[in-house]
Amino acid sequence: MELWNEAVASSEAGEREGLINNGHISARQFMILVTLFAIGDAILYVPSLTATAAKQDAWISALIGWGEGFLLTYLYISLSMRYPNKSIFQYSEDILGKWMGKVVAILFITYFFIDASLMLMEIGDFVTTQIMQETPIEIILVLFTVIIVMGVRSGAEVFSRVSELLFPYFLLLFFVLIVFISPQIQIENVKPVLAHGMAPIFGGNFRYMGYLLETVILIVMFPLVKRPARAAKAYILGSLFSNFFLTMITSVAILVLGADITVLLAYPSYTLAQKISIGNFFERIEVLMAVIWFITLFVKITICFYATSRGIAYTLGLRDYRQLTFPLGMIMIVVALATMPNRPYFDTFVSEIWMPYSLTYGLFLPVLLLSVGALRRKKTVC
Amino acid sequence: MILLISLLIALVEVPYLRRNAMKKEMLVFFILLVVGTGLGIAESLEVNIPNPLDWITFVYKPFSDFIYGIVE
Repeated sequence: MELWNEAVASSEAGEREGLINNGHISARQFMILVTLFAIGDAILYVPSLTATAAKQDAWISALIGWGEGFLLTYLYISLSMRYPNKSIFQYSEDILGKWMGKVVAILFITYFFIDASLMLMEIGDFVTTQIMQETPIEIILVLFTVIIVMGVRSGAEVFSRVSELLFPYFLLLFFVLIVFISPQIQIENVKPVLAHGMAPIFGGNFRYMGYLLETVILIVMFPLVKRPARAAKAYILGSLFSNFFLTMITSVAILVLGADITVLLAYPSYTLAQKISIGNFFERIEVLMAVIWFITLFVKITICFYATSRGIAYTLGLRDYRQLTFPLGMIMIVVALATMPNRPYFDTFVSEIWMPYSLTYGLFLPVLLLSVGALRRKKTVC
Repeated sequence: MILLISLLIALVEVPYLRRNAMKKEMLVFFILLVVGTGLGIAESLEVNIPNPLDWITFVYKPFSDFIYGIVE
């Protein structure tokens, strides 16, 4: 009841403050958003992607990701802390000047949008190939888009609360999956360790990094947290948590299925859930397990979509982003359908092109903004 | 079908925009809606829609070869 009153009070306050400013989220909610976001679609793809190059050493690739995740998050934090309470679309203009800033903002928006449509396609592909083979993919996409548009329209505060509510279910299901599959672990599957030296491990790690780099999108959510110092802590913690979950699922996939099968499978995590069998009685719970990535993908697409519509509203100087969500949703469905003509095309894209593409946005552009911002500040001092 | 949906969206949003006299918002809204409807119709007529991933692949392919060339 108290929580409800608080929610009502804060949403009223948000309305008074103006339309574009839609409330604040707490540091805890931000941490949960970071965790669920970074797990996102990675939970489905990371095991097979890292195993493509690193084979049985995929878990080492994922372990290295902890360090990378930490450093990248540190970069995003130092960028956001420089300009507290401003979104990336605003300070890119402050740093690079009006036009260059707008160009960078538009580049970021396209990245967010492409990411959102790709993930929409992933969920559509997952459902139509694994669960409901007869249903046309368009129906699934439309249903998902409607939910996402609803989430985005109700504002960041609302979907942060929803993800806070969903988080315990996610934890429960994830640990149920790990615990029930653990009897089938065979240590032989990870041997020999480091058979081909370090190079393939970095090959796997680069593909993993492509997913870590996507956390740059959360920069958009950063200014919504009232106290930047606590948001920074939450950002780092969330990224470490998500790395923990991803390393776990990768190692378990390798340990149970073996490297060769993991590479071949489209959705190794789902196959893991299919293999659960306790005493020939407790089995076939894979659809329950699929709820794990429905939760994480919902959070991730919602944030991407929110960032897109918010970004468009900022760069064009609109007062509200909500009206853009329905038309954008329509465009997103078509783009999603266009991006996956067939599965092999998509697989090559994700394993070869996605990481360099993300690298531009997740590393080069933030570093550029940070260094130019630092140079500018020095100039004004002199 | 798609026209119906876009009409519905317009019906939902336009009164709100008009009430608050958001001219610029209205313009952007209609541009996006027209693009969305156009793409939707093109898709349903099975016209070949350009794949944005092709463009990204075109730009990033050399870079990708370079990165993975180091490790593999």
